[in-house]
Amino acid sequence: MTQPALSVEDLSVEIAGRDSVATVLTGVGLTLEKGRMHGLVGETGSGKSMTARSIIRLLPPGGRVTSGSVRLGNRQLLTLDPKEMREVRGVSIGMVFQNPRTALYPMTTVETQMANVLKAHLDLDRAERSARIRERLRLVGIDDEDRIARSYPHELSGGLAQRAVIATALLCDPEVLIADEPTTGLDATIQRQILELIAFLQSELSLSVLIITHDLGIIAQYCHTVSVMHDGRVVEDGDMRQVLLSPQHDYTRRLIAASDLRELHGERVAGADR
Amino acid sequence: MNRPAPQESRTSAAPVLPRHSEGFVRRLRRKLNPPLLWGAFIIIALAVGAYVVPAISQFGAEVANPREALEPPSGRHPFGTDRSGFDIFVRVFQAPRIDLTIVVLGVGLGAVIGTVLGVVTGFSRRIMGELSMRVADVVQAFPLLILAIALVALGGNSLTNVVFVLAFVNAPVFLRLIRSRVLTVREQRFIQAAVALGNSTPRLVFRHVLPNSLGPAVVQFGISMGYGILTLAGLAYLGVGVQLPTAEWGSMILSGSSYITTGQWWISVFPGIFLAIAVFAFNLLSEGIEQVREVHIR
Amino acid sequence: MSNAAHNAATADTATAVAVAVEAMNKTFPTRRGVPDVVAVEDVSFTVDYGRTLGIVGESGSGKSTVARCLLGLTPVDSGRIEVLGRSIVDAPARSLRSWRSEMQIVFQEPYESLDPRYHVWESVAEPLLLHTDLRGGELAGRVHELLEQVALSPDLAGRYPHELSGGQQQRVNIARALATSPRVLVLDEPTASLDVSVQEGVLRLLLRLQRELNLTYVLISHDLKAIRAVCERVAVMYLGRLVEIGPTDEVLSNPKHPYTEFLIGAELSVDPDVAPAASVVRGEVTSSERPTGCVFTGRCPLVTGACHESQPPLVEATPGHDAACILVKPESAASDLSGAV
Repeated sequence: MTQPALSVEDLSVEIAGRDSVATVLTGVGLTLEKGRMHGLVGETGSGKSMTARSIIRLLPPGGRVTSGSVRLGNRQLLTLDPKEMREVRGVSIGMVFQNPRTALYPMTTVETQMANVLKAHLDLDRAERSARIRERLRLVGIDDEDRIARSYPHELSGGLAQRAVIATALLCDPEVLIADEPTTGLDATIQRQILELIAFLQSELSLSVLIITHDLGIIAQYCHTVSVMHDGRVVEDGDMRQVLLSPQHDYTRRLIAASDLRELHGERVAGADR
Repeated sequence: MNRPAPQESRTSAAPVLPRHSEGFVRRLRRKLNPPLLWGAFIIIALAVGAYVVPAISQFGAEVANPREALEPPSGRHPFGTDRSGFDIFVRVFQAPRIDLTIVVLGVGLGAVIGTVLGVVTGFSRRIMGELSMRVADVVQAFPLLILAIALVALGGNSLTNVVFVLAFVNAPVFLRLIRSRVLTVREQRFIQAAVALGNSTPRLVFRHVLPNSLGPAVVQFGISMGYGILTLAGLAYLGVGVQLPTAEWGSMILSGSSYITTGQWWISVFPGIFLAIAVFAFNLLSEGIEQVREVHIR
Repeated sequence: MSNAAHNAATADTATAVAVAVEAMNKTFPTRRGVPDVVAVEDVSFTVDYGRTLGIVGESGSGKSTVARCLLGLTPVDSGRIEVLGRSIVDAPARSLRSWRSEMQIVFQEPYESLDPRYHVWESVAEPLLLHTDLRGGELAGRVHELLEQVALSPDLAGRYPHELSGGQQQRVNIARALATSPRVLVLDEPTASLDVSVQEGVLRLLLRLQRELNLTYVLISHDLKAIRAVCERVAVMYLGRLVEIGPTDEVLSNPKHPYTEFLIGAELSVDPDVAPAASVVRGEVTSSERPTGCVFTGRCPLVTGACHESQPPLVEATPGHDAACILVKPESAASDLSGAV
């Protein structure tokens, strides 16, 4: 078996509040194989976003990793010094967040902020930067890349803004893309477009994608493997079809049942016959 | 399948429900906090001291004694005396009678006027709103002291007028704060929900918009109190408002300012310390009140 | 539950119309030089007494504006809105206020909808203080009854909104909306911000309340799963226009308008074996560039020259199922749209 792109083992995290310490992650483990899409699914407070933040080491104030390891390829991320970690965040791991408009800096054009990322991490001249920016914008399905490059974030629709964020995340050819609720807040048809784009990039570039979501539908339609999180723990993980079609853990079963509301629909139809 | 509602609540006897809005007094009892207690304690102590200390002291606060002028602190005059031989200890304690009264009245009046105008202009959002903001701009653009002097010159040199001056310069501050909060709060979802529930406009304003808009103004009240005392001192220095021999911190500080360089530091320092303590106490108090008012401190 | 409020004339006939909207229009003015935003254009529908109509659409579809206009929170530009036989367009503010006891709304944001300074008891009691003479023990009894109805423990009565979970907050909103025994409830994305497990509980509660209290619902949602679970009929809106309306199961299994079809296609099933539609709709909703003809021309894959000429009216495709597409022929000549894509 080849080495996974990203692996988390026995990760525990606590957050110190004013007068108490809360354990937010307990022994979390997950494996993202190279060139696959892994879904991390859970509800509010399940710890899925905290897991992502632990991987890139951007924990909220008071947050502390108490045990575990995070391995990107063969690098142990938790012991890197801050400067090396910045390189990892800028180059090796691309990040895509919920709400693209706030992920983009409002005062500069898309091109300027993409160029700043390149300047910080790669040694390219002006023309090379410009060419790469346009190439990445086309890669994410933006046809009129010149116009979009010159636009300010508020001039972009939600879907276009998220494409620009993805293009920015791809600038330095990352090994891993972490997408935290990338389509939450977008319209259903736009959500579909963005997910299709991420799936396309994953297969086209052999990108390894960790997608964090509350939506089991995204897992079922786009992920190869899945971890179900609840209450700071991974309650079930493995092959997506296996987990969704024959869930072993009670929480997974409840989540699936609640997600499609099929039971309620059945009750309504039955009620109408009365 | 028809799931019944949870049974636990149905079978229990009628529970004790909070019948009424949790009033300020009840919340006060629940959320007494150190800033509030300390602020209130200091202010009450100053107010009590203003009557007790002069009563038991062997010196009158407004009795000059040129034979004992410019004496340094001693057992006889704990804070020393000034050039007219006033006992600074007694005067420092008596000063709150004037200082606190004028400032509480002046800033209080300004806060009430500013709040009323802020709510009206923030809620109606008509031409009046724009107009009041421009007037507030003009008032605030003037250097405060010059404005105050002009007002006192127009209205005569009395303490009542000093109260009005303080009200006049403070009203725009509260108008601005309240208005900007009202403009934000009125757009919030629970206001829309309150309209949908059938609230009339006055009820909407007084039961929903205003209580949710007061926070910054309460904090500002403490800050304005502190500035008010300083304004009073500045006015006194210019010969406006408080006159000798009335004991007042600001005028005492200023009367001693020219002696600092010649070594008679006590004339300014002791009233200065008391002024600082009073300003600090008002800030503590307003912060404490806001902590009680604030429903959701996480 | 007292049914005293039901003595209005319409209650006894099973097929009576509770909500009737005809040719509703609403335009929001914008800055000078920018065309006004057409939020709702020529929308008509009815909701039968005791039934649920779902209104589904994406952002900019005008579905939330419809909700606000139904409540009289936003005045319409033109059109007729009748709720329980009474017109609420041009009603004077005072009568509209007293009318609020008959019709209520539950908003999407459960926390933001509650006054942060009111605890649960105050929030639920407020409409009773406004519209009824209940005071003291009677008031407390009614509040208690309402909390019980929405399955909230009375122990929570003294809590403030921020001390409650999202699901509990929404139950408080529902209890408050039900306080004056309204007969029509507008639900504006009531579960959109809730976790899936909580969402199911709230929808289940709404269905139970509807049965027990014989309520009429207008459910605004972008979530087809929720619509399918709760609504007998569904209306699909796009850029302010109603493009399709009919029985939920019929519309969602046999859509006549290409937009409805795309909306269904964008839905992601939790069953890995149920693949979503292969086609992905292009483009985004652009309310700033409103097409001259059919509103969907900008994104429609079946667009023809005729589509740019005028907005097609709603046409009955099958009984009770209307769609506003040039390709929809009245029943006899109906073409199967899904085959054409």
